[in-house]
Amino acid sequence: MNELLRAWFGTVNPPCPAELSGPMLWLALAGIGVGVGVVTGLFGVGGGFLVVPLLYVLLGVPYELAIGSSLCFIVGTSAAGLPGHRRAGNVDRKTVLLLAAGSMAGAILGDVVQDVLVEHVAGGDIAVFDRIMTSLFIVLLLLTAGLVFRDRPERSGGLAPLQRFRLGPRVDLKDVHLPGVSLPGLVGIGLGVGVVTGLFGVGGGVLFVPVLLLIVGLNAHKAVGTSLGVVLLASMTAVVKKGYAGEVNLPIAMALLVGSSVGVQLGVWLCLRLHAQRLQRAFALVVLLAAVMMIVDLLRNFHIAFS
Amino acid sequence: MDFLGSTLGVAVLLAAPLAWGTAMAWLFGRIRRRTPREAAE
Repeated sequence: MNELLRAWFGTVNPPCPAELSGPMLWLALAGIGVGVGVVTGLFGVGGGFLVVPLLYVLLGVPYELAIGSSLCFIVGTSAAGLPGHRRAGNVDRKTVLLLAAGSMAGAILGDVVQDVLVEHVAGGDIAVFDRIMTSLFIVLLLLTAGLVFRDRPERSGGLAPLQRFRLGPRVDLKDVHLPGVSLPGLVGIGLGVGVVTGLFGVGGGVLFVPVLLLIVGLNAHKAVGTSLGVVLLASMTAVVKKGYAGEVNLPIAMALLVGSSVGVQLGVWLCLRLHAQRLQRAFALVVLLAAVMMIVDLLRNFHIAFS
Repeated sequence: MDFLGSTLGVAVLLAAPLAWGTAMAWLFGRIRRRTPREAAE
């Protein structure tokens, strides 16, 4: 039995230069999973913007593997959180399907754009490209945090921006009481977030929640539940792509999942008890925290590059 | 054969987290539904 266990751990031990190994490594991964699970259940984000830096910075898992394994983890953690939100009536199926259609196409497009940018902007140097993209992503996160932190602007004439958008045809999102929403606008938003997903390798929930709040016009609870549905479909597409490229480590993803299964239930429980405005502010703080983490990582990379 | 092997591998990468997530949601859903009834009893 011991032989079998040793063989299993030997085979599945991820390439990780951190001081941890064996059971301690799996405990650390499960611990990260619990924290990220709470954030997922609470805010409807997959947690990729937290898992990738944590795996990469704390445990030293190679960047591509951190992205792929994080996406695989997001599939499980969003599948665990979704039924709770669905039972509470927080998931609008029509919005999920329309946004996911755009997002899946966008993720593939983003990956193509990434290859073109690496070749033509960074001159084939992946390290330079990563630094440029990380800087852009930090700006995006800071803008997102700023927008979400502000109170929701008064809708002119009681209409959300996507209801005022002139391009038709229009769809009625009856479950969330939003009639006459621009269909190309909705799919276009999915496409835009999908491109960012493909470019930065995150699930996209961190951007979907503010977009659903501020542009589509959902309230905070419905934005969280609906975003979780889109994130599940978008991350499944990404896992297929990364899986074929051999950039997913299943044991890392499953260890994170074991921890997050508990965390996500706690997050959903907290979400249903928090006032919408407080939830919105807390989300802004988590996004800000992720931006700070990436700034620290970027500075560390600059320090290594120039020392 | 390589493609078949990779496709099977990718299917496992999708099925394993989905199965785990769904099982956990079901389990915690049951616990949550049972708790108030048991407390009332």
